[in-house]
Amino acid sequence: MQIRKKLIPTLIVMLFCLFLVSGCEPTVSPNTTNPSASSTVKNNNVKPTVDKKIVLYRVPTDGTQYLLPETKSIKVAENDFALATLKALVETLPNDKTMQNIFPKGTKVLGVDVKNGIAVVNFSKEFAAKTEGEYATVMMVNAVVNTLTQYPEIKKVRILVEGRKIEVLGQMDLEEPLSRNETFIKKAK
Amino acid sequence: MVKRIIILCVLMLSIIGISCVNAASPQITAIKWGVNSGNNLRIVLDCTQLTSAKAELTDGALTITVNGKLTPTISRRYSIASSTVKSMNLVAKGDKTILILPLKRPVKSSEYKLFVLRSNSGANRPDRVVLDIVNGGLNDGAQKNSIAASCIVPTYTVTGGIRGKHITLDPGHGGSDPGAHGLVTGVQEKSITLPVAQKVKALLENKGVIVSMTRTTDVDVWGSDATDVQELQARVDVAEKNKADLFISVHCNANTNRAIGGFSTYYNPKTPYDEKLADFIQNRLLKTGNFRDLGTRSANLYVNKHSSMPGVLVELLFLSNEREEKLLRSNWFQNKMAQAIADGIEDFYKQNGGVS
Repeated sequence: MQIRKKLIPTLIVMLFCLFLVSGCEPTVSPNTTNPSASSTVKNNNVKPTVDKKIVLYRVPTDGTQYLLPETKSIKVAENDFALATLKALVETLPNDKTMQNIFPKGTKVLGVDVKNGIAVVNFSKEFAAKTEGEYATVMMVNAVVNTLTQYPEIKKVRILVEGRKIEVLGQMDLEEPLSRNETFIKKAK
Repeated sequence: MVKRIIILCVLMLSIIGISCVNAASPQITAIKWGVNSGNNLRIVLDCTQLTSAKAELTDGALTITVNGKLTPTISRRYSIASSTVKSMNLVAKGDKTILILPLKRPVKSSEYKLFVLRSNSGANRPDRVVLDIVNGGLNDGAQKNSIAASCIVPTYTVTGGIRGKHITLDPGHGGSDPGAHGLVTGVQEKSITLPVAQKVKALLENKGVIVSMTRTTDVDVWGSDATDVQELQARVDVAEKNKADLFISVHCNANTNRAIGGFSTYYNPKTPYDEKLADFIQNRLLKTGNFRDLGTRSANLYVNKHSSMPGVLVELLFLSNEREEKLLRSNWFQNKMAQAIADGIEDFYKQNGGVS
């Protein structure tokens, strides 16, 4: 009884602290999740390969604004899965006719570097090619982010073009790393 | 003791709410401090209204900048008997007041917390800015990396109906930036977003809204030599300067696939209201005719992300779609879309407990 008496107010105090913290903090605190799960991905061909089931979020051909998951099996070196997955998304065509690749022609993945929960993705200059309308831009960017964040060690994605930060693509702000965006994924009913 | 804690907590929880009101400039009417049995220091500034403050740790001192003037009767110097802070000096700087707190020992950013408390008429407490310095930290790992803490009180209002609200309308593109173009007539996006926004303006003004526009002619808002960020920030600045309650950006979509069409509304879920506003406007837009619903989406669009008030960016149909291009160019359909946007905004205020 004595313990319970103390437990409830303690819980309330903890809840209150949480409230304060969530209410008033700037959102700039760096992501510190999984510092151990850091992997640098570079061209290194001597690693043993494994079969890995991956999901690629593709842009539909029917003009709706939901990304469609395409599951694929790829052979990949243990630490290269992020790069291999992104290359599959950007540099291959989907098998299904209901999906398409809308990355600007010639877009290449120059590298993916995963550190402290953030995947820094480096695209070739074609990625930032001027396109008309917001649809293609938001679908393309969210396809990248949602595809990479299928891996628990990737919480956010920073997009670089030719190694440089781009602040804005179309109307989109790419200054800060982006988190998974569930509003582009259709909820199963 | 247990009872006291419960009462205290319930009281504290009850006074935390979403604070969205602002009128005259805030004033600091009283300053109190106290140290509890755990040697933790609390400084409380009573204010005439909710205001914002920021804290900064500098060499040997903690500096708090409060958006509010000091009332003349307040003492400017305090000696403080605590384990962390020796004294407190107040300096008036324009509309702001700076509290300088020289430290007895280095204080970690995880050891202090700055926040606001809303007035509580039951307890006869005014709106307050509160600084807590807790020895050994606040058990908050996430805060350790930040060197500055701040507490921003939003200045927008969502309650009380649409009448008297300040709304900023942003006709997308303009000047050197034409936006997308129609594939049949070559009509430019900038020359559709402007008349639609102007029609929304007239409709909102009829509902008693005070409307500000990021542009009223075919111009760049920042200037033709602006970077993308400068141009978009200039549009956000118009809303901030006018202390807008809502920010509505008007665009048209386009795609290389000419079959694609429909309405979509983008938002950034930075306040509890952005998504709701998007839903209300999108629902009204869909009622303008037989169009595809591309939905509302959380998108990291610059103007929505960087403005402090709730806002959306509407994508009015596709200029790359022949049928939709024709409609976008027609005066009667522009009126229809403008009406839908204005009605969606009114729906939003009605749902927020307002009477209009």
